[in-house]
Amino acid sequence: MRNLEARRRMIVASLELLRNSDDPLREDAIAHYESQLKEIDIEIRQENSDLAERIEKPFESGIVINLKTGYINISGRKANNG
Amino acid sequence: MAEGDITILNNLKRQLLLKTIDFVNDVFKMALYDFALTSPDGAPVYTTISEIDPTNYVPGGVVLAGNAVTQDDVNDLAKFDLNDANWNSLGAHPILQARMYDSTTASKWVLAYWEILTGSLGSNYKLRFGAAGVFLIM
Repeated sequence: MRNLEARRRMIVASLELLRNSDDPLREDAIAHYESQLKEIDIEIRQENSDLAERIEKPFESGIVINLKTGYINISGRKANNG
Repeated sequence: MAEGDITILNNLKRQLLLKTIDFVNDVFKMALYDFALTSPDGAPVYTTISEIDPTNYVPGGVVLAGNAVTQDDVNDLAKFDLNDANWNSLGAHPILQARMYDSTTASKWVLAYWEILTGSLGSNYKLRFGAAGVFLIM
C-alpha cells in the first residue's frame, strides 16, 4: 500500500509539472500519466478491499491448527463372527 | 506423535458402553495446556493444573457447539462432529495439548486430546477438526 501511494504521489507531481510546461508533446505525456493514475487508483481500491476482507475474517490471518480425526474400531460390523 | 495427532481415551469407550455421555445434548469444551498427558489410561478429568492463562483465555476453554451424530451405512460407520475451537487474539503462550472434555457430566471427563506444537502469539487461534469429524466409530 505504501509503495502504491508513493507511486501515486510521483505521478500526480509529474502531471502538475507537465500541465504547467510548454512542451509541445505534453498532451501525450499527460494522457499517459492520467492512464497510470487510473490504474493505480484501481490497485489501491483493491488493496483496501482485501484489507477489509481480512479484518472481517480474522481467523484467516491467525494461527490455524488442523486436528486429526480419531477412530474407534468395533470388529464384526457386518457379520457376527468378527 | 506430530501436531494434530489425536488420542482417544479409553474412558470415552467405557462411558459409551455405560450410556453416560450424550453426544448430541452434552456440552463439550476444549481446553489448552502447556503440559501434555501422555497416556490414554484411567479417567482423567478437566483440571486447571497446567491450563494456559494468557490474555483472552478463559479457564475451562471454549464451548464446542454444533454437536452432530450421524450414521453412514455406505461406509459402515458413525460419526461425531463439532464446530472448530476459536480464540480471538489469544495472548502469547506455549501450548502442548488441547483436551476435549464433557462439561455436562459431573466428572468432566477428558474424552480425547490432541498434540499441539504451535503456541499462541497474540493473534487469533483456531483448532480445526478434520474433515471426517472429531471421531468415527467404525
